[in-house]
Amino acid sequence: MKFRAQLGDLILSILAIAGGLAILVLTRLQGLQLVKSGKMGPGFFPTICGIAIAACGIMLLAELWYSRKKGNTSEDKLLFNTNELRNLLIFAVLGAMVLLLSKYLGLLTCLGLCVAAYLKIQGKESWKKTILISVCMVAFLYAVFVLFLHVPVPKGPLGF
Amino acid sequence: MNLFSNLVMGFSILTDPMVIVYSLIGVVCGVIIGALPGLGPSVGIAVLLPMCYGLNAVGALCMLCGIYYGAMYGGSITAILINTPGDSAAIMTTLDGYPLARKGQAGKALGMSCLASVIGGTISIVLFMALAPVISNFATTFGPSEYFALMVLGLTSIAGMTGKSPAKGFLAAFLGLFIAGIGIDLVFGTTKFVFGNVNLYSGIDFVPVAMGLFGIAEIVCNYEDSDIKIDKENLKLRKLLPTKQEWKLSLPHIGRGTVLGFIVGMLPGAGATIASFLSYDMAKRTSKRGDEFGSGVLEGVAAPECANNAASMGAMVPMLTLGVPGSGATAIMMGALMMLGISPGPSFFTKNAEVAWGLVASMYLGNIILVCIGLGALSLFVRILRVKTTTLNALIFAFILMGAYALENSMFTVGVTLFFGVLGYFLKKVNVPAAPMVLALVLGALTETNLRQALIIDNNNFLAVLLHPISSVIIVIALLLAFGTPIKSWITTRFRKKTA
Repeated sequence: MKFRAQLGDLILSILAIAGGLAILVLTRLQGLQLVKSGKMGPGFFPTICGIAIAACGIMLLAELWYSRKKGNTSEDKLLFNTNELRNLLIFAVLGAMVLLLSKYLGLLTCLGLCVAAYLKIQGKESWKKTILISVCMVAFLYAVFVLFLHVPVPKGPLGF
Repeated sequence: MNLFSNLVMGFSILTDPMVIVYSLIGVVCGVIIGALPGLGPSVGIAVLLPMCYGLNAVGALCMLCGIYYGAMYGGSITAILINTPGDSAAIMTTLDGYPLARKGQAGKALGMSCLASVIGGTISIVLFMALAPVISNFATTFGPSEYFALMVLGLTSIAGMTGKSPAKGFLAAFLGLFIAGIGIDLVFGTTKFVFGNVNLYSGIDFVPVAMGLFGIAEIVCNYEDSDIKIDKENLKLRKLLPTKQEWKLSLPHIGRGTVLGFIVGMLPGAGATIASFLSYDMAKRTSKRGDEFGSGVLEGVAAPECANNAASMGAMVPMLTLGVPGSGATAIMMGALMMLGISPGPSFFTKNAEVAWGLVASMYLGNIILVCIGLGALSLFVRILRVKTTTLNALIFAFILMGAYALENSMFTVGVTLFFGVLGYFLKKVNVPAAPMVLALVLGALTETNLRQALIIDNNNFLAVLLHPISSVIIVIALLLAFGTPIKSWITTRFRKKTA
């Protein structure tokens, strides 16, 4: 399915309306009141935000309807391209890997593996270059964050 | 203390060699990030924020400011060499910069761009020094209601002026306000939208959100290599410097562009892009060879470049004196200041005099560094730009994740960064601007606190809060800035229809 800008705007406006309403419902369900003890209650800002987000969704729908009525299709470009989506997927998978494995392998090791995997998959670099860049990056992160800023990072079996 | 003794105090702070090192790191990183297509000052500051954690306030500020104006100049490198602006503020530089490069005068265009940036930056520091304490003094009379109005001005103007659709800008701003409200309520102690997750009790910090929205979302979209080809001979210092005649033609435009850029930069939501556009337009109208603009004239490079650097300095005025950031980059800087325990606002120049004047002095230093490395190390930057984009992406990604972890020593912030990175990518695709969301996240808690205090003072009468003389003027300006353009276009359309 080809995703065009107008379809994207339609989905965005529906999500905004649904999201705004969800915020209003959740505010009620959590018992966050608009006014409490005669003062502005904890539910005041979420309620305002919920209403405003839903209103923005309605405004977007109106904008879309107006633009369709005018027959303005010049800005209805394709939203995504495969290279970008592939890039997003790789980053998402590598990010999830760092989140899940850093407890066992250590954060720096995971980040090194993450750099290596990206360079190999997306950059199509040679093994020599991949290993060199990954090791240098880990050394740089170790120097800046562990030695200089004293950040206690989760350590793995290799001791860092 | 007078201006001179304050400045001497500021320069005395710069005797610390580490402050100079931080400034140097900031400018170098700023130039590199600004030069990478798609990555502007907001991304630069967001990505490098974790480096500030262990630093003192002056050092951190020097580095952040260095990134800011370094990126402003860096954007022009690719604009001139490959007709691809590093950030939106450099769009106007492509118009004459690239034709100059095609004529074999890339070095001269780059040299003029650097010198105009530095001159614009330096003059605007003088303007900053003259204006900031005056505005600060005036704002000391402000109470919570005026502050609430200022926050509204900051939010509405940014949201209303970003992109073609104001609704998308406001959507981003309200989403940011909602996220800012997550956590424990400051007055009643009740939890809001935490759903039992202890990590959410202290709320969502703006840093992982900014790193995700600006950093990760940008590198996902940025995967093509830049094809930079330039003759090394062109980058020799002799070739970079403009001639006496070229100076004579360009200096008036630099002067006018700087003042214009500074004023535009101070307006919330206007920013460096509009400043460079207006400055280029003014130069074209006032130049003796206005009809040659677009075919490769040095004034066409000088005018927008000085204006965008002056605008970046102008944007610091409302951020530091009123606590109202006028752009995405200054919003992130304001968040960074708050992270370091410094509250920007009217008392900034009195309570944090050392930091404030140290910052002013560091701006002079930063401009000296910028001219040195801008002219001296240009070939090095060009070489860095030849590094494959995928390699840079991998390194930036690892740096962002490590920085996100270092914020609270928790993997939860890494998850938040990744979440907002993916969200930021989809929002970018549907043209929802990220800056209003980050701005709202930074201003959210302050807006709520000031509104609450104002309501207590005015016996919970919301109308009374808005009807304070200064607040009502600010609110009217906010409404005009936010809805002025759509209303004007609606009236124009109606008028045209009637007269047709």
